[in-house]
Amino acid sequence: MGSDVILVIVVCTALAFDFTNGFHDTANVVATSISTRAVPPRVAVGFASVLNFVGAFLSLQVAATIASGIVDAAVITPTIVFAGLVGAISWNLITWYFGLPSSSSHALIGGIVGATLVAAGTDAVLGDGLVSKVLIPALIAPVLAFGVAGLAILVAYRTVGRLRPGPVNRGFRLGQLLSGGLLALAHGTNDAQKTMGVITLALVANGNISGNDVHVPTWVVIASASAIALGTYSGGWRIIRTMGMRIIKMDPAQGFSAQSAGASVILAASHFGYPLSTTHVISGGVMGAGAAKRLSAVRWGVAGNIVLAWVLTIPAAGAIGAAIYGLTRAFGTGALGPGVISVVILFLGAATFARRVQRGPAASPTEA
Amino acid sequence: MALAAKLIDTNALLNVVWTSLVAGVGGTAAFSFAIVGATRFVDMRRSGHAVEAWMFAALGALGLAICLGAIAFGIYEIVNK
Repeated sequence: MGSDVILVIVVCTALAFDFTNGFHDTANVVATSISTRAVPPRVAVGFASVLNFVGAFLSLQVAATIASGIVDAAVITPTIVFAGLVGAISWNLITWYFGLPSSSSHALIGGIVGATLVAAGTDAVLGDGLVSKVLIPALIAPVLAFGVAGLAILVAYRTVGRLRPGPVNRGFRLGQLLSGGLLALAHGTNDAQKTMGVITLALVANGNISGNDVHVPTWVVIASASAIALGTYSGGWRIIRTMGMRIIKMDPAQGFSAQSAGASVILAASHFGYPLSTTHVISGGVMGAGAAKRLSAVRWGVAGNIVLAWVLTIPAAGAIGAAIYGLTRAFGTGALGPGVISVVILFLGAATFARRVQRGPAASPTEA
Repeated sequence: MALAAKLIDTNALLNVVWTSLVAGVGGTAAFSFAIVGATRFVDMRRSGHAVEAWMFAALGALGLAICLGAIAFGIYEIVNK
């Protein structure tokens, strides 16, 4: 009974993380399309939401790989997963509040690493895996996307430079529907599977699915796809504004180049099994498309804040995950700890939402 | 050096770099040619240069076909990952 209660709490928390993932990462997919006026904001977010939902059904091959090779799988318990998820959700909400695009995958990994450190000590964290699967790709992703987007925009300007701006801008805006759509599909496939993996692991740990026949149940696929699509549709307007307008003021050719470079890097990395963060890739692409036109076009102060958020993501989510695990264990090993923490989080969330409703929206779609 | 080799999958990384460059820069170039082709086709037809107009139409169609092919390949990659 107690383990079933923990399972339900972990599933609900994983879906809440999935919602914040969609909500937080909407900007990766739609910011450039919105800022170049290729698509109206609400339509862009609705389009991304539908493609995220569809993308979640396209492939289940990488589900259940989150945090594998980074922490010792034998020590993972539902309570560690719960604490890690709360750490990731908290960091997603903090960075959303400051309008900073940061990696939801890194937040989840950081949360689970932090909780594992407190639960099982340093031996349970695989340092080599953390460096090779997370830290080195985090350095490579933005630099590669920066270079590809920079070269792409130079080629585009060279090719269309003598044409009238009107048809060129209309053409690239049309192209952004295609490049943005591909990004949304790739994002839905990659990110919804993290949640599917977490829920499936919890079901295996609880004995609901046999360890010899691990598969993702249909209800998990539908619930994860729905949560990320709903989160995407809610639209993290603060981050959309940062990505679309505060780093650089983009023209349609730059928007298309940034999205094409982003989609190319993500799909190439996926094909060769190299794990890169969607957020890092798209942010690097946006900066590259801006810097290639003119270095001073990039607001380097904003870019610096984004990089700082990336550096802080794993330690900060880890610290929150560790603290939540410690708090949870203060109530014993049963379901009481996760239950109490969940009720407190729901109460804080409801109070914050009520204050927001009283004050009105902080950033509307039309401002983004 | 040995530590770096252990931590970095150099082969996968180099493959990611060149594939991203070809797809990202090539895709943008192909779409740019599609725009050049479509715009010049309209201009040439208006000015009565039918042969040149259809050559630009072919260039635009080829650029667009390359882009649509790249997108189809991208979806194939997502589905078969």
